[in-house]
Amino acid sequence: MIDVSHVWKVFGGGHPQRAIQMADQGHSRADIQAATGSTIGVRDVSFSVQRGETFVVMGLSGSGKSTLIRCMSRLIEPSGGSVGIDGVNLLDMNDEDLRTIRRTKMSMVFQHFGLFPHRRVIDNCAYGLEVQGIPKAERHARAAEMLATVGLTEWANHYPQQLSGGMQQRVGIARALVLDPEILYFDEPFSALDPLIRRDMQNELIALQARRPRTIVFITHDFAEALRLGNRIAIMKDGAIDQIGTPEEIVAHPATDYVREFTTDIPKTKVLTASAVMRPGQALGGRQVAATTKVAALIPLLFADAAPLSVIDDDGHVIGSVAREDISHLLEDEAR
Amino acid sequence: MTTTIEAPPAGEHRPARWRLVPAIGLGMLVVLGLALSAVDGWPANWNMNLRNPIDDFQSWIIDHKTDNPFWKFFFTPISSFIEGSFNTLSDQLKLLPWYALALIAFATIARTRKWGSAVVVGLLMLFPGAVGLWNPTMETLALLMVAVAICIVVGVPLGVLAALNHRFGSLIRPLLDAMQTVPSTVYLVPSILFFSIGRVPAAVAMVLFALPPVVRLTTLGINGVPPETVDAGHVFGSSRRQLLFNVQLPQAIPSIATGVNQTINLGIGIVVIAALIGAGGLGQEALDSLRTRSPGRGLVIGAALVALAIVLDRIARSFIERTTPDPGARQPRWVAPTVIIAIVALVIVGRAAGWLDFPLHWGVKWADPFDHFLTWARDTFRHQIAWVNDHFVADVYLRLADFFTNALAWPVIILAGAALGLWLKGWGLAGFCATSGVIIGLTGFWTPALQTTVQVLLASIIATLIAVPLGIWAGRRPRVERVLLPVLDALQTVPSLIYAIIFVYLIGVSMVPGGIIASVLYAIAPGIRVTALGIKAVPESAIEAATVFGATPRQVMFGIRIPLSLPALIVALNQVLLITVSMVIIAGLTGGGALGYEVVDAFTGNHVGKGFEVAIALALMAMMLDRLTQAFAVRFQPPAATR
Ligand SMILES: Nc1ncnc2c1ncn2[C@@H]1O[C@H](COP(=O)(O)OP(=O)(O)O)[C@@H](O)[C@H]1O
Ligand SMILES: [Mg+2]
Repeated sequence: MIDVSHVWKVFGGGHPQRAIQMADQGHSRADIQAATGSTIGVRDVSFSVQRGETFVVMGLSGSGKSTLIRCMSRLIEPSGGSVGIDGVNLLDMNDEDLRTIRRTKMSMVFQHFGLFPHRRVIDNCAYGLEVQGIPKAERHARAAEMLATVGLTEWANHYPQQLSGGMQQRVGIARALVLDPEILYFDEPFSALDPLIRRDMQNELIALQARRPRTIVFITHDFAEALRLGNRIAIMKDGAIDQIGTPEEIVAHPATDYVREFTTDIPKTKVLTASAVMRPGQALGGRQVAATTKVAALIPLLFADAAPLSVIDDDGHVIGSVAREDISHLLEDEAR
Repeated sequence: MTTTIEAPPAGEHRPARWRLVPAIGLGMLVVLGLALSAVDGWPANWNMNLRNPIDDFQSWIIDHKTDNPFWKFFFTPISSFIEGSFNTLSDQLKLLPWYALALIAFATIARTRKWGSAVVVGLLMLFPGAVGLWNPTMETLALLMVAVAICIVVGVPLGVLAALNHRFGSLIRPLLDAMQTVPSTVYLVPSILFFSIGRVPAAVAMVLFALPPVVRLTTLGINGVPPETVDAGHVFGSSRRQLLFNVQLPQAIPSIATGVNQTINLGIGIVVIAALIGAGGLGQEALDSLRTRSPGRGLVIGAALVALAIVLDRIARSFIERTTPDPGARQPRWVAPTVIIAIVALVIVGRAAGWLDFPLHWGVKWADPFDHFLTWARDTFRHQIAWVNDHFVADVYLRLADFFTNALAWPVIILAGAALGLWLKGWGLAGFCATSGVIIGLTGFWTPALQTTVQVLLASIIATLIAVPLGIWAGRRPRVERVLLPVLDALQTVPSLIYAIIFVYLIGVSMVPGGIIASVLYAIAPGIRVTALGIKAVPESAIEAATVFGATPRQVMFGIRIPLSLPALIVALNQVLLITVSMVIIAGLTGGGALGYEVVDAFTGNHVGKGFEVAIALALMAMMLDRLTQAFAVRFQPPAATR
């Protein structure tokens, strides 16, 4: 669905190609900044997102996440590379085609909501329809329907600043959904919200995805959020991607120290599954558990019964075994 | 560069050797001054005689107005358009029943539910009619409306362009800066060259003088639109046009309205001097009351202008502070149309019935008591007033002026200006000061320019001596500030000429009423305001730290507050200087002589060429004073604050 291939973004300096060359030769971001005056925002990023997948890009503040997603929506022009949407390169499109694809196929939700303060909630929500010239009655009907979905029907005639942060972001989401886009970009949509509300919103997003899966690229700096939402996660550092993988792959096998830093503080037993901790090979007997069972669920079984567990795959074949000592280091980590 | 042996104390950001430079420079200037003591004023034959080509050009214009395409297709249409709109507007305004504008003003403010303010504004709108100044007020209002409309039509697109195109933005910013530095008098001169005398050049001068805020604040408003909303606009597929009209301009409206408000205020500010080139209206009335020595009438005219200014300001503000829309408290849909229909009906009825004039005429009675009072004061304190005036003029002003024009040789003055520029900023400013000095000399107005400089400096020193302590006091005590602010507002809205009229009546013709008293009264308000702001901006933490270490309040004031707000104090000085320069023409109208007299003479005698020469001298003076004080402020910023 989305193919990001060798995307670069260089800010300032006037000679992006020189900065890219230096980066190719392995110079660090700071060196390039000193030598050329350019900041590398995104450094040779490639990945593809499947239809219906939630792809999370995670990284510390300043790691280039926003720059990346802004390149992908072409809010800024990348300095190099291509962004394919269903096989068409977004970067080759003229303004007209770009507008068409934005009006029909892709939409975006912003960190600080990006709502128009001078328009009522309903008119915010209907904005994407309005610019296409859809008559007022129809666009209001569709916007009202979307507001009902996010539970804001009675706020339709208020102005955004009269709503709480969580409600405002619901308007932001409704505004994006009203176009029924296949692709949704989220740039840290929940970072400005209180932790409790953030959790509610995450759940709503999961429910929304379950009802009608869309292709989502979701930016966050919160690793726990990435784990909750992402089918796959890309970890970004200094503009480049350090690792791409499923939540479990990343937690089980962090590729770099930077990635490992994030994984240390999260309860691994709730992320890792039996398949990640098992010893492959023949089972030694004992109870059978599915390969996708979370480690947290294995603990009571292992302590109820000293015998190792047998791990079976979807077809019922035994693929390995888990004993107490295989998870003991995880428990120690968590106890610390 | 020599290496210093000891580490420089904290806060010293220039090498120590720099401290010797001013002393050496001063010494050299003194030596030069003594050596050149025989040199008199600027050599009479060093004159670029600018007036000849300009006067020739003016005659050429008069001869070719009808056949030159540039006039036929550009200036003449503009001129007829302005003339036509003004005439229509002022005729229609005069045909309104006396209560119509008051009702409209009331309804506009009442929209925001500020009932008290709405009533006050409605009553203020009745005031000019009540004192028998309705027609001149409507003429002034019509002129302002035409000028402000042109400012909006020209300024908003320029501002949008400057915001969207950074190259254009950085091109016009210095131009706007310069336009706001130059005293308003300067704009009258090219206006009369191209548009002769009358409403049209007055409107043009008003537009030139009042345009910068609309442009500036439109740019500011567009640039201040939260970037995420712009991104959102893009993401949802807006075209450039849709983005501008749906997202950017609507969010910039409060800022644009602020700009329009400032533009209106600037426009009102030059109503009086624009009367010198034929603006008519209240400005003409004010000039007449100066001529006839009627301070009471002058005061009433000033009050009418202030009333108009307040009404327009409140109306503009009602668009800026569009209070957060609250759907619960929204007016039902029928209210606005009903109110509009009711007002229109009342207007039609009033017009049919001929209720055009305010039914009462209190005007004369309002002016007389004040005239009696002033006459009494003048007669009672005749000797005291004369004593102060004569001593000030003879012993302070004339001595200083004489020192500058006769004792100091002109090269010394120019070099001193350049040296000051060099010390404060660098070679660029030094070059600017030297060039400006030479150009002023070449205009042929060296001596009047120096006399004016002395007047400006005297008025500024007095104004600063009053403003800074009051500003510090107001900055420290919120209660004082609350009392002072309305007084300051009032001081600044009264047209400066009115002060001059009153004090000319008391003192007689001299440089004191306009050049000193009116200038000081006019300049202290911003001086106090900026000082108070600076004092308030001193970080609490610095003061708390000083207090913790046992500093007395006095030590806190002189050791912390004043040094930390020094840049603000210099900005206050800058404002005071620029305002006193803009008062030069008022001084000229009331016997101040010098450049002010020359410029008034140029207008009244229609000597455009001479007007240009004086205007150039005046503009350069203003720019020099502005740049020097700005450099001064930067130079004395505490090192921590320079970044
Ligand atoms: N318009 C810009 N001009 C110059 N540098 C920028 C610009 N936008 C972002 N950057 C730089 O690019 C880097 C990545 O920024 P960003 O993508 O906003 O990070 P994140 O969203 O991960 O916090 C930062 O170092 C930032 O300073
Ligand atoms: Mg970001």
